Amino acid sequence: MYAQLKNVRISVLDHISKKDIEDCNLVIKGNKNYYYLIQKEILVQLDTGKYSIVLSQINYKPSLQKIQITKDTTIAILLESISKELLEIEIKDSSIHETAKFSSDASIITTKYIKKIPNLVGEADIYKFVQQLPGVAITGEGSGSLHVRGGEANENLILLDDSPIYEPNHILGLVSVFDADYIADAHLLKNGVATRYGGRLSSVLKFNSKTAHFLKPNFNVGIGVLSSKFYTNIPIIKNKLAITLNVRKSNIEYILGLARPHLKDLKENNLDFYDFNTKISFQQGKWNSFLSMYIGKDALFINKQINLTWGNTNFNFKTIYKNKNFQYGFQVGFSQFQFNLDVSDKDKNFFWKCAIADIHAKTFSIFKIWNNSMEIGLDYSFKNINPTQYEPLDKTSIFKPLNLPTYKTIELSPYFDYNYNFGKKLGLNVGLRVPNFFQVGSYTRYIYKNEKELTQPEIVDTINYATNQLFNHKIRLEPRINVTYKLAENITLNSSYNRNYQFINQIITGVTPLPISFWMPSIDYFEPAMIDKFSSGIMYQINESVFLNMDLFYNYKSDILDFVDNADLFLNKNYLTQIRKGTGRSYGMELSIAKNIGRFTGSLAYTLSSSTRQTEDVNQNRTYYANSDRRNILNVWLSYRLSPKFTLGLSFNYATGRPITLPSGVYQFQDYTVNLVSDRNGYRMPDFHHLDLNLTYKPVWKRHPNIKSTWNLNIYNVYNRKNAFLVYSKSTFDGNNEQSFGIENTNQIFMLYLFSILPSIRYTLEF
Amino acid sequence: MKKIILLLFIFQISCVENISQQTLQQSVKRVVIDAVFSDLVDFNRVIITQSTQFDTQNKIEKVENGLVIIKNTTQNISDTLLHTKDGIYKSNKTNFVPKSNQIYELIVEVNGQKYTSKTKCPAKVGFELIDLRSKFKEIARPFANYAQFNFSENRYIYSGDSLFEVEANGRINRSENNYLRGEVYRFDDKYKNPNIFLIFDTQRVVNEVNNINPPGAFLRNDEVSIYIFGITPESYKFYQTLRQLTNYEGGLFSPSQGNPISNLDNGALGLFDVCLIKKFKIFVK
Repeated sequence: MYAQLKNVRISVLDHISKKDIEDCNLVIKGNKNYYYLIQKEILVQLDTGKYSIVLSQINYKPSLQKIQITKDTTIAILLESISKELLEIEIKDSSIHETAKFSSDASIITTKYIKKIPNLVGEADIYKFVQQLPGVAITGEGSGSLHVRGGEANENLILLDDSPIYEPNHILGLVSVFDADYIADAHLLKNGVATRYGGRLSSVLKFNSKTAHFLKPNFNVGIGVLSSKFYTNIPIIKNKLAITLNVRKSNIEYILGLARPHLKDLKENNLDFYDFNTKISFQQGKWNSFLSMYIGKDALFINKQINLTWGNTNFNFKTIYKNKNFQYGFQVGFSQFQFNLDVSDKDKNFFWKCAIADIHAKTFSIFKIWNNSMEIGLDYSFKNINPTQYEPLDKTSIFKPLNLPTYKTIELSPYFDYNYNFGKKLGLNVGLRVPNFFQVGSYTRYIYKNEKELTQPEIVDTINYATNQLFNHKIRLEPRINVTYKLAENITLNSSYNRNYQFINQIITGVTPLPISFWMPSIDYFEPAMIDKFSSGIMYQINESVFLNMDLFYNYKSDILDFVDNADLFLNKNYLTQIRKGTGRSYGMELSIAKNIGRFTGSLAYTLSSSTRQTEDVNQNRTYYANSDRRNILNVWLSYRLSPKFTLGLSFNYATGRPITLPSGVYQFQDYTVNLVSDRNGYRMPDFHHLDLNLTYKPVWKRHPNIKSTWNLNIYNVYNRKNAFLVYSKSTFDGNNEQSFGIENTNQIFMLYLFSILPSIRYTLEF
Repeated sequence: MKKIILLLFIFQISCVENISQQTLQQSVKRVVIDAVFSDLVDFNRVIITQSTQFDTQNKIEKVENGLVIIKNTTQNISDTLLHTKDGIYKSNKTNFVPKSNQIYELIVEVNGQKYTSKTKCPAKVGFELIDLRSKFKEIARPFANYAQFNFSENRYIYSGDSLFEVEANGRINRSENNYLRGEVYRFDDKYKNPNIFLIFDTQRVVNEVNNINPPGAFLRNDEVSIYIFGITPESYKFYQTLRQLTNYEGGLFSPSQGNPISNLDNGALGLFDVCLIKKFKIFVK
């Protein structure tokens, strides 16, 4: 799986002008087939041996070349353009344009692919597309949550160039922090995950930034409803050093400024975000390295009284050495997420801060021995978690300061991965990861008389740990196995088993995921959460352009945390007493079909699944549906190239309404009309569906052929479906004056929806 | 041009509408017992009702044929309460006054089903009201000032319609424009000493009801009576949950809702509360 590899740089040029050609579909055929969508050039890593390279592009004749790889190689392939008449004919050849690949192992998405289909408010967002992949559910429209095969949002290891990102969303989930102009592709690994990744239960979601171009500078400017962007790649030293820079700033502040005189309800409310990415790439002989930085911030201001800010900061360095039979890599980085809430409501004023900082390092070596390959490595992570720092802003505040203890933890995880091919049909991958968890002092552990006492927990003892003292050592074994069998030339079977542990948990204070949450490790009364994941799938290549994939999965989780009903979480220094351990089960079937060649391309993804929980003291200890349980999910994307300048895109999304807790009755207590609450998640929201359209126009700049521009017109929710974001009960005071008490109240169910029909436009200029 | 941009780009977001309730499942009727015994006899009563569907058309059903017995198990005395009206049961014995640290038991029989509960009467809340003044002159926002708060045993008080009763000029201060709102405080934990208790005048509540969370609303020169109930931790948790439920707005920021934990057995809803009450009178200036 991780054999020693040769660097093969492939560039594609026009046979007359010798200019770079974009949007080329590349298939490299050897013992295995590799599929890429390349921009100008691509760096791939191949074993030594013979390969067939198939290249195609909508405006050029397909090309087939045979090559033999014995060392690092640079290949320039010239494509011959075809006449305008031929453009109208659907191109068919043996190459497969797989720009979106779905399987039980991994789903791989390129940003070029998602730019062809409709997007919310015209913002091409690869993370949003991942939310629509088979086996993935979200909790609501516009939500930034990602629930993979019944998992929770915090159970995904989200990586940007292999450095963790703790909060992947801007503006409460409307867009992600992964700007499509900076990101090349995303890999969602659901099962059969290599042992180099660990620490989370559900999935690994990798975002890779674009490979630096060491020869030519490149600039990209874009403006849309939501944000304005600037991207550039500048070679500093030819073939050695290049710098990439990407800046994105929201336009919401400007739009709200325009709207404020017309909409008095806006008052002083404001919303803003920005991203800043930079990456310095350098290559020298057999060494490839980069140094990257990401800073992103959000700010939400409400009535000059509530001020929420949150954001990620990441620094990352990675270097890789490769020779014939050996590869060595080293990575070190820093990741931080911080959330601040500032409330200046007279005597109820306070400042609330929570943060998680992570210093991580990884070293690995990959060896190739005949048909086998082996990877060994060591993963290190030091986390400093500040769950809550809470201070009144001034003396008039009725609140007391509260500082929960800071948690410091170390995870040290050696691992190995072994890959063996039995002939050409059977492949076996086995691995073991051994996470070691330590807590680091100073720390004071409270021993409760009854750790499940909700109202008046009594601390009977304390245990103090000295500064830098290592304690609470936990060691776990994570075996992983993945078997593939090629039943026929076009049919591949796959089965895998993974066991994963997770040592940190995200405490979410509401059922709707918002950044108002904090992290805590599995300590004191809690063991690390564990998952056993089983999956089997079949991949069937129906013809040269159409793939069918079906997977079955079953997951069992233990020691996952949830809150008791009506938990008292607000500024509760004994919040641990409100948390209970539980188990979870999820199972289902995923089906996908994709066609990625020709003028008409598209994909369909369907998921049938169930996800349940059972938690002590929740729902009277009975099983209940997980928040992310959605029985049926159907996502369809279609793209049709009307002409070389115009492309029409369509997407349709359907999902069963998510579970929700609502009252099944009412009763009178004193002067209150009180809801008689149903089972936890005993109801479902209305089904969720919407249809979106997209038209892309790429005009030709005859006088400036190096300049390329794109107009992108989106219509989100074409038939104006009111999809529920929240459904909730509320007592309404007679006379339409909403109150929440009193015997004269009436009871109603309300629905909050976010988006009606939503047109948007974006313009991008590249040179 | 700006208007065109605005029309093109402005988001149509965050809309709310009420939806059909027909999809809600029908719940089984459950007995609700609201029992309070205190040293202020006027407050003593047991109200028995039944839950109903989540539907504005269904009225709360009063239970008028129940058997209600209150026992002081420490002193081994008991009393059978009599139905007065609308499911309200009261004792004829004026000397059946709770005392701190004594155990009380409630026995209720409705339609052949028996519901019981035991609880201990906590000590009386010990603090004095000494001042009432306007804190923010610019908005004429009066507030009460408490001092000498004694947290020796009773850390739990509840300020709300009943357990923090307030009267203005002899009437319970509760109407469409002049109302109270329940608050639960555990003063030694999250909050400073309760040296302020916010009281909002009617005008402020009407003007700013969307932005504030007022515990009460009064007219100037009102004579205000405040009753502070000392309650058990179980009662505190019950009222706290009750407040979460009645203020629940869909879970955007709230944890999942559940029914308050009753101290009554056999599936009854409600609470059996035995407590001592401290009463104050003040004037709103």
